[in-house]
Amino acid sequence: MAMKLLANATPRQALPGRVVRLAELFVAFGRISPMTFGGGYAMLPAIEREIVGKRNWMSQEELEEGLAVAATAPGGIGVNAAAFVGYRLEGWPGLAAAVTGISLPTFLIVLALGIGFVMVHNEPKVVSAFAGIHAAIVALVAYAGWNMMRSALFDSATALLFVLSGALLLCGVHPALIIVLGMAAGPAIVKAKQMFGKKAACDRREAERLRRAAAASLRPGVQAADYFFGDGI
Amino acid sequence: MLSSIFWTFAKIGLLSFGGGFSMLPLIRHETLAHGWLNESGFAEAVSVAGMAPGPIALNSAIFIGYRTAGLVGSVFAALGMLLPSVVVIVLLTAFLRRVHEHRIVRAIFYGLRPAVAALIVYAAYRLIVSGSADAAAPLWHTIVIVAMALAAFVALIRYRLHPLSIIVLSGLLGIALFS
Repeated sequence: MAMKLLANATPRQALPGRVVRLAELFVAFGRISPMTFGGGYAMLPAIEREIVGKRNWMSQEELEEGLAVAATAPGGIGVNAAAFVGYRLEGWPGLAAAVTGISLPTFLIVLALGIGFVMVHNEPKVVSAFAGIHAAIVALVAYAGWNMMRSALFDSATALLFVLSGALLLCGVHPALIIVLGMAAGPAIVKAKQMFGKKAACDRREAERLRRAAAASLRPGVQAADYFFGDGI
Repeated sequence: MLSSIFWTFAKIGLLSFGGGFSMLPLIRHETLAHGWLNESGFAEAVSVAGMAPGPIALNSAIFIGYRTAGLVGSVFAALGMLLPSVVVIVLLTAFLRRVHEHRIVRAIFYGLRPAVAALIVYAAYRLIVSGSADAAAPLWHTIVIVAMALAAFVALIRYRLHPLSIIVLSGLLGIALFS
């Protein structure tokens, strides 16, 4: 097990070749990072272009599987994708090069902003500007929440879970507990649905597929019941 | 101090599903509990973090680490946030390649996603409250901030304006209105 973890995913190359490859990994992910504002899924096309299109380091299928893993694991999807590609290509050194590449530009930008902010944050003009910027940041966070709601809430159980989580947060429940509760509730709800003989969809795409299948099995002219929450808004 | 920063953010990193926005309530909770920053200091941290590219949770961690313990603090905060993702990714690629297709993992995410959505919406709510909680500020100040946030939200959804241009415009508007 430890052997497998420590071993490289690809055969070892001669040292100069490896160093070049590590530098390339660093540069490729370093280029992606400053372009992606708000992080997240916006950087996936850029990663595909750098890794598959330009450098042909892995096949489209392999990268897509990696991105699915990256979306499952905790952390930013860009960092996770970099960790996957780096580790797959060059083992631990590759991982370090790719993750450093994607994190370093952001790190330096935040640090520069932070140092600048500490220097000027008592200036009246800066205080006023930050009052305005604060409003924009609230909107950015709300926008992320909106997008998450659109993909997460597609049946009555998920809508209920959303409302319940929100209520608990307002009551002062620890945010980490909300995550744990959600993770426990998912399998419980799926199990309960199956016990009542219902087909349980685990994401919006699967729910739509099941709904289409149900609609097709009904007599023509009869519409399938629409349980969608917030669909199309 | 440094090890407390590292482990706190490692704990947060382990739970940060959904791109990091959902971790803002947890980061706020830990930052206030440790006494690293106060409520308005946290709001400033999120504003600075949102102005930079990259995941907002990682950026907030870097800024909070910097304000708490200088450059070394920011490095420890960033490493703490990155450690759990890196370890989980390596374990998943080495052992459980097709983990996202497992029925149980899909069921976990079924329940996780609404919780994450609630956390992000709650984060936005807390930020708007902390932005207008300043008792010294006049009422019209609060109303303008809420109106600007609404306008920026509409600009993002309907007009697909770039986040950076919204931030710059809001900053200029803030200078024009409040000083």
